[in-house]
Amino acid sequence: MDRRIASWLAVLAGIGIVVGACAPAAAPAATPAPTSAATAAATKAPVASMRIAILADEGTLTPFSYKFGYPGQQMMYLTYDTLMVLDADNTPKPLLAKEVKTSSDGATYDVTLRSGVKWHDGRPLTNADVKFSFEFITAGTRAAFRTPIRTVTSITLAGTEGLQIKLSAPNPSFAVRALAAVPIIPKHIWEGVEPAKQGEFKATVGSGPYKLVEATPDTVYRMQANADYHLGAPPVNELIWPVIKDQNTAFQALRTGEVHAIIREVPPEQISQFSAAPFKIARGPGFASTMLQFNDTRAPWNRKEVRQAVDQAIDKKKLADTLLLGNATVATPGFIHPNSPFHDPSVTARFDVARAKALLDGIGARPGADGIRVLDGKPMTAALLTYSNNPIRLRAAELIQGMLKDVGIGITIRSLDTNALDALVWPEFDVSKGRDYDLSMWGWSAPVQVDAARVLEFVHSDTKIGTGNIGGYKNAQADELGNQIAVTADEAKRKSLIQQLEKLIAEEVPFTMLYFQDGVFAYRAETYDGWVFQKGLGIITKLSFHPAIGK
Amino acid sequence: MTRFIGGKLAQYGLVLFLTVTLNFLLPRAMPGSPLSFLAGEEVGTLTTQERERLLREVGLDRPLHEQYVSYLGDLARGDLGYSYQRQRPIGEVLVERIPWTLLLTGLALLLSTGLGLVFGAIAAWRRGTRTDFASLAVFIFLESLPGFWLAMILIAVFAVELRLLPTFGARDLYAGLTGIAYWLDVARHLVLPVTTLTLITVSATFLTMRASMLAILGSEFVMVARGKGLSERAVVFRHAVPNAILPVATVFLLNLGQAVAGATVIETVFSYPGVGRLMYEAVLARDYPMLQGGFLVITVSVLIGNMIADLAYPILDPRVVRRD
Repeated sequence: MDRRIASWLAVLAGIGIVVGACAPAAAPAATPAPTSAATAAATKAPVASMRIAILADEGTLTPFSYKFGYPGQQMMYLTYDTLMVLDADNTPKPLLAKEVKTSSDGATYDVTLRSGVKWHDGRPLTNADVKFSFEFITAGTRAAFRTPIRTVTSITLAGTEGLQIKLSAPNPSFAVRALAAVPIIPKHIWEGVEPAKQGEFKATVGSGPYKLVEATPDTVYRMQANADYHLGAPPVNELIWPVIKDQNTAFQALRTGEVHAIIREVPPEQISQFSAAPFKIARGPGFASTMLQFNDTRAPWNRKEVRQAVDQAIDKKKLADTLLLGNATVATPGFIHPNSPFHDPSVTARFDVARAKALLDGIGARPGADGIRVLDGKPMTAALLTYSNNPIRLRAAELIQGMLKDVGIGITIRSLDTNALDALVWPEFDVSKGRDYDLSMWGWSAPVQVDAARVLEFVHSDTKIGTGNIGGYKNAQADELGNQIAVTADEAKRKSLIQQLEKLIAEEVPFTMLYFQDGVFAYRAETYDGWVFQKGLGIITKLSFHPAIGK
Repeated sequence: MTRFIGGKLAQYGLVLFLTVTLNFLLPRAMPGSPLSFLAGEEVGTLTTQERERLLREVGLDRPLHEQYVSYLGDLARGDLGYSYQRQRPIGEVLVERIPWTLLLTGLALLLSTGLGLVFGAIAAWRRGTRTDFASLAVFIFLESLPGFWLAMILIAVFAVELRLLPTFGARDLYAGLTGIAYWLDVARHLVLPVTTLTLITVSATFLTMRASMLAILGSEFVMVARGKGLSERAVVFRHAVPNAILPVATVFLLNLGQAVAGATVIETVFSYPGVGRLMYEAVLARDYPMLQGGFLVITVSVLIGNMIADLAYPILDPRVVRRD
């Protein structure tokens, strides 16, 4: 009995020790983590340190280990330079390249490198590194950067700064998707690495404006300014990227000054709270889309009139206003973002319930006793899939459910975790593997809109070209337009072809475009105010961290 | 006693083998695949051959039974495997996470057990009084609080409004603290998550203790103790409480085994580097090796917790063995 009391006393003593250990900890509370007020005095002088919250781990931040296209890829680009870089309007500008010349047929690129560029370890960066980078990506297993360089047939070197890249076919997207995307890695560091194991190799030497000095998994990344950067030292001496898993907590940390910026858009209801000093808001178009994807191979969605009716029945403006309090751009039905220079202004968003009903009446889909229409003897009901971890899309699905009910289409919502939904809509991420769904909430990330020519990937019926044609849509005219877009180098002609495809998609509605959430980012301006909004992507891009990049 | 222990060990061995097998099968039975984390987000642009090569590299192209045999072989060699998502050895990831997890859940468990025990005993002792009703109301209210909500409120008040405590993380990431300052900072980071976790779990111990104590206070030996003319304090603390603790001890030991599993919601809100969030992310990524390794370690800890409870019970309460 006494032993029992003794053991419980020991437990209680343990509590006492813990409490005791916590008690003095309350003392430093009077001096909370240094807020940015301390650095506010710094005006023109370089900013000593800036902290930007990210929401997930990004691996070891090499070109083969970062996890997400945003922000991981953008963070990786701070350490690794590319031959060219996209400016705020997404036009490619030289970076490691001094000059890029394209042959008249668009199949040969002559690149001259900038002189005197050095790796972080002091070794000179040469054209051999560039050639090695292209070859190492192709030999590896990682998907990023691979597709745009698949058509490279040869890379020949001239001296230490010249190189000629030959493609098997003209590729007008090559500058945007390859030259401004392929990170150049140092041959002397990577040449011993087995390409299949490239993701496991930890490396930090690049040639970019920042050196990666710490990558603690799931916790923090730390970068130091590269004082010898070929465009001059960057304006912030140290970048710290703490990982804050919960978005709400991250915005609380912005309030307290524990961080100075966040990679994620401000939730619409919080925008006003971050609109006054010490905060500022950077705003611009966002290119990540939200759409309603049809299984175009399954009845009744394989009928154009049904898809058109669904498009007419959905009030996209209401979705944008309700879900995002208006901080969104209503999408036009032809896939291309309305702010894209390739967008045809004659393609506009539609919403006409009467027209939707007329379209369904026209194909003989009459409402049954319960108000649900019956087409070819089958009630028009379907399951609408949506990601369970995306509350805005889930709410969008609910609003769409109501809108479609008004025209006689019955929707049940199934929310699934990301991987389970993908397995139905895009099994093994290979459209040739088929699909098993009726309707799904969907969206494509921003880079897809940066290169408008990529629209063909979502409608082309050849599964090797239409790699994102998750609806299994098939249309000979769309295929033909896609084939031409892929090889047309002449800018005006290309734009006209893209707009023809845009109009065809708007007419055929293989998917219903809903909205693009605007990029609204909050930051502590007193710490750093050199942010640049790159169209469609936001402020966490290389352009924000060096004023000379992209100029 | 030896037979008792031997039998128990055999039982645990069987359970362990079954869980190892389930840990292998269940992740693979989930729809979806780890492809997007193996290849990166742009996985959709890979050709079919490239995808197949990728699966071959990690052995996912082999038949299930072959994968199972090689998994058992690796385990026998003490190799937990390599995480698809994190591109690191799983042992390394777990070794990094488990201490933080135990710091968080262990402290919360000690606190909630201690508080539940004391208040449960007092409530039972003062049964039917205002003290009893008030503590019942408070603990049932705490039970009903959603963890994430309580966490957010605590952050809003103590971190944002009062600026007393940090909003996220397990340690300071900026100042490069060392020695005592480092540990004090670790403690500051623990205050809010441990408080949240303690508050939302304390009522289980409280209710167990209260019920157990009520039963004991009504039993004959307590009446005898009172009849002997012992003081009320001696009756309650020397006779009733030690006997009433037994069910609480069981709950405590079972929870101790569970502590390694972490507290996913709390870890997420406070961005605390625990095992709970780790496993949640592994499920989303279909990171089979991470799921196998992580759940194995959790299972083994739960089994050890149970085993300690099993073995300790005869010592705490000799009647258990006698009934055998």
